[in-house]
Amino acid sequence: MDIPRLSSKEALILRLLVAKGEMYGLELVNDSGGDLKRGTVYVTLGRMADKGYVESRTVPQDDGSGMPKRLFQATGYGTRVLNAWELASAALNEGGSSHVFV
Amino acid sequence: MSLFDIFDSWDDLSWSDEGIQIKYEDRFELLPEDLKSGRARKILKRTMIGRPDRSKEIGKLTKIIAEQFQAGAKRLILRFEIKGDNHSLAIFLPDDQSSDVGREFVPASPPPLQIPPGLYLRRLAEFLFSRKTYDYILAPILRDLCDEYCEALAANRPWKTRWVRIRGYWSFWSAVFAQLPISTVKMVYKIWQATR
Repeated sequence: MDIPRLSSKEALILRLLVAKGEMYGLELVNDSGGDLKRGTVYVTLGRMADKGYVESRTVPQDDGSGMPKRLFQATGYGTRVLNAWELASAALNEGGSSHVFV
Repeated sequence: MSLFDIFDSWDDLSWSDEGIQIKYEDRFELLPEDLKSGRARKILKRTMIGRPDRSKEIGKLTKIIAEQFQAGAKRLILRFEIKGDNHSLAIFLPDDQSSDVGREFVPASPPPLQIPPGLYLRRLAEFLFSRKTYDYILAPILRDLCDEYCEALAANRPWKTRWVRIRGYWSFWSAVFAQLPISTVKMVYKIWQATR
C-alpha cells in the first residue's frame, strides 16, 4: 500500500481549505502570509487534485473573458491525510525533542 | 447624452486597423436599463457590421464599468465578447474633459482599443499544454491577472496596472517552468504505454 505523501506547501493548502472551506487560488496565496506564490500555487493544487487531496469546481463569470474562476476545497481523503500528517509530525517532534534533551 | 446614443450614430465610430476610434460630443450617462433591455447589444452589433473586419461580429455585450474619478470627469471601460473567438476586448474611452463639453472630442491617444493582458499567453498555453493542465493551472493564473488588471484600471491606478501585468506574466512563466517537467514526464509515460 502506498503511503500518502504531503509536502509542507500541500499541508498548508489543506490546512487553509479545511479551516475556510472553498477558496480561490488567489485567496490561498493572500491568506498564506507569503508562503504560497502565485506562480506555483496552481501547480501545487493541480498535483494535489491528481492525488485526490483537493477537488475543484468552476464558477462561470459573466464578463466575457471566457475563463471561469476555479474554487478549490479539501476532499475527505485530503482531510484525513492532513490529520494523519499532523499527528505524525507532532509525534516525531515530541520524539525528536525528548531525544535531544535526554 | 447616453453612450448608446453615440453608438446610434454611424459617424461617431470609425474602425481602422489600429482599433476603434470613438468621437463623442458631450458627456454621457450610463443607463443600466440599456444593458438589461439588450439595446446596447443591438446597437453595438449594428455598428460593427460593415466594418472592414466582418468576421468579428459582436456577440454579446458583457460588462460596462463606469467610474466617476473626479468632479466632471468620467472614464468608461466597455468590454464585449466577440462571437466565435470567445475573447474579450476592451474599449477604453479617455477621461471626459469638462472643457470639451459641447464640442466634438477626438481621443488623442491613438488606439483606444486594448486587448486584455494575457490573451496571447492564453493561446500559447492552450497550444502547448493538455486541456487539463490548461484548465487547472494556467487559465486560473491568467484569470487572476485579468481580474486584478481590471480592478487596477477601474481604480485609475496606472502604475498598479503595470505592476499587475509584470507580476501576472512572472506567475505565468513560473507555472509553465514548474509544470513543464511534469507534463513532459506524463507525455513520455503515455507514449511509452501506447507503444509497449
